Amino acid sequence: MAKTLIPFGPQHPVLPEPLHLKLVMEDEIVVEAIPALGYIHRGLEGLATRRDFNQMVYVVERVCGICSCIHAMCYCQAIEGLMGLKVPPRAQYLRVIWSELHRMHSHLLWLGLFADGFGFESLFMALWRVRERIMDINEATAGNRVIISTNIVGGVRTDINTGYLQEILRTLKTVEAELKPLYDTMMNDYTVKLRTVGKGVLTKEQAWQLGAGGPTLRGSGWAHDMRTLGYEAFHELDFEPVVETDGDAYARTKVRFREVFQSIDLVRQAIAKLPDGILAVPVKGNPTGEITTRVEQPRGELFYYVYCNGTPNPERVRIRTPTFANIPPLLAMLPGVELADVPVIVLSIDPCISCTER
Amino acid sequence: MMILGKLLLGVIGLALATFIGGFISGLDRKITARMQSRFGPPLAQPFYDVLKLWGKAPMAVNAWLVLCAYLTLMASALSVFLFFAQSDLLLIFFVMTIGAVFQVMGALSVNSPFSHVGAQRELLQMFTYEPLIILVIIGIAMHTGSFSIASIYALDTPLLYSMPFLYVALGIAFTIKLRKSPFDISASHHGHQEIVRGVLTEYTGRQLAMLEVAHWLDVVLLLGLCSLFWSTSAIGLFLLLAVTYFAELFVDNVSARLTWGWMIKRALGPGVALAMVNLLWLYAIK
Amino acid sequence: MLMGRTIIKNLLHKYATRLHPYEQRILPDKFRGRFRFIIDKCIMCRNCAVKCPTKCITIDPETGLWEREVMACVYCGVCADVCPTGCIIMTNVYRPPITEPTKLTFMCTPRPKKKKPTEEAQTMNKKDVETAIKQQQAERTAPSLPVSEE
Repeated sequence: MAKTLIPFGPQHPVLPEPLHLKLVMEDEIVVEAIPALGYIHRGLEGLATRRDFNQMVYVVERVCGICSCIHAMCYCQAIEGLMGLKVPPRAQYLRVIWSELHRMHSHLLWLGLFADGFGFESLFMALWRVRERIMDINEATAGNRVIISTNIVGGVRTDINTGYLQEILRTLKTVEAELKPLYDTMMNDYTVKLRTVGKGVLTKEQAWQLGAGGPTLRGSGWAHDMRTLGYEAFHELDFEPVVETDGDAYARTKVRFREVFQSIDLVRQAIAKLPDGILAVPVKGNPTGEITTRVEQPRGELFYYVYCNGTPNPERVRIRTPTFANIPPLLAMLPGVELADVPVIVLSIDPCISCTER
Repeated sequence: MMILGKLLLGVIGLALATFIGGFISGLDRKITARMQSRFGPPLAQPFYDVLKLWGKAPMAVNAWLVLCAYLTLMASALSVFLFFAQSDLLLIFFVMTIGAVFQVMGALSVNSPFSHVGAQRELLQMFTYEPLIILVIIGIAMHTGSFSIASIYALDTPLLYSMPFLYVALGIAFTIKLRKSPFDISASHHGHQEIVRGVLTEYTGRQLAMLEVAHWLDVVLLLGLCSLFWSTSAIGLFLLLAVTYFAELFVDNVSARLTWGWMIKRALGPGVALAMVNLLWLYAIK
Repeated sequence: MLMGRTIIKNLLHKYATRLHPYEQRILPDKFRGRFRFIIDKCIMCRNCAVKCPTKCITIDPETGLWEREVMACVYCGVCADVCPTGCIIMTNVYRPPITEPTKLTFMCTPRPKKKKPTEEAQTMNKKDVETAIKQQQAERTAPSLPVSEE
């Protein structure tokens, strides 16, 4: 049969990310997907060599427009590791709170986009409305809605006062109440299930072999969550990685939606245990040596390699983002699916191409 | 004299239908926005859109596309005109179909794969809604003994009493024709779809404005078909149309977009079955 | 159909959005919005220019030039944090859009001559800063400081 080539991206209304997939189609079935990347390479890793290691915190924060705080946290951990700094406990807990708030708003953003991907506009609007509350917390506590710039080497920049902590708890209660019916819709609605169940199946073995990460991996049955490493204050909090076993778009959606609830729980625990104390330790001198750090981003494992040579400018900063790991599994999922399911499957790995290309 | 009166009625109806269609589209956006807790655009936004599109620099891909846009608009206008001139239902249906076919022809005349896939899907949609509308028209003819609209207005009980299942079948066809979820398969209102805007992808500027107006007219025509089911009183007619349109919006907002395979299995099959049951019933009570 | 309840609720309840330019939101105090620079408080210490991640601030202590590239600024608020005199303030007002690369130029009083005028501000110790502030304040006795906004 004659093969047709359907371009998907880099400017595509369903996928607001500059990923170009050439879909080789036979009839309405995808035979092969050929990815093309590199549309928004910004050279941030190169910029790292020309900036002070303190200034770099704000630069790496702009690697990703959604999980910015977590990038900065990972980078700060690397520099702190090199300089042997001990982050004060209050700063550790505040970092946990902000990173979990970021995870929530990232997942809600994704769930909304996913709903939009299969044409469920009202669900999309409802989810983004909930997300707005989380971003309002960010705005009130850190000064900005997404790029919050709270992390610095040695601790955090701003504090959350006790009065506002209660406000956060109240907001989280509303968020939880508002999300319950939406969870029900996303997971049990007939039309939604028709679009997600059994689409883009990634078996347990495949997921491991292709090196998937984050919810894509957990949706295929692996309890693999970097937070279990216990960085920052995660070792003092009680949580279990969310795991689903089906490995399809539905399972990945479920993992993410359950992680939103898990994050609400983690923020509550962190607020309950939040110790008093200073926010940051003073930083003296320049870092030397090389180090790798790993944290859990909303999309999966985030990896930083930093090599410093005793000057204020790091010699090398290497960032490996989770979407980079999730593209090979995506390419394995696509052959054999219908064209109508392509957006659902592409979105189900939560692609963040801007992260990937830095 | 009789013919002249009908022609006049048709012209007035067509002029009114354009405005009513635009406002229905505006109201549609308003209510949808309200359902999503938004304010939505002003009521006259569809007119602004069309005027803006009309003012765009002409960028048609080829001459066929322009011709097809004109023919689509003309066919839609003619079918509305015929409806208000109280003509033959079958004739109206065929003219309406010509409009839809030319829209697809235009989409197929260009090289864009999005447009092609959209056109194929539009054909599948036509394959789904046309039998349903035909069956509704057959039902009306069985009940009144004529394909003429005037004969429906001569009835003294609303058609809905004897044809409730056919009304449901017409509702399915209406949802498909409105391009609303779960049937926004070939082109959705907002272009967030794997094939961008499907059948409408390659139309721009004036051509797109014409197709938009044609869409309003199609909606008015289908609402007109729905209105035939309560031809006895104006209030009943208005209520029926309001409830129908609200139901469309509700369904649009509670469902995801589905695939054409599902549409043929779950919309055409049950739709035809419902219509057949109703036709048998009509046959039995005759 | 499970979405039905939410939709009916939305229909009956208030709008979740607002008609933005007509109805303004109250922004939190910490919001990093419009950038304010109080010229007369500036002591030309160059702290902001050195710490800025995008290097959008240029300072020339010799001539008293203070310049900021508006489009390069990412509004991280570091300059406001490190400013010893508090002459840079992030107000909680939305930033107006700009359409082309703009430079905000202020002419301040040139820094009073020190022993080493070419020395970097980084090495300037705390005492120097404090004395500089005092000097500045003594020099300027105007009741209200002129404030410049972008």
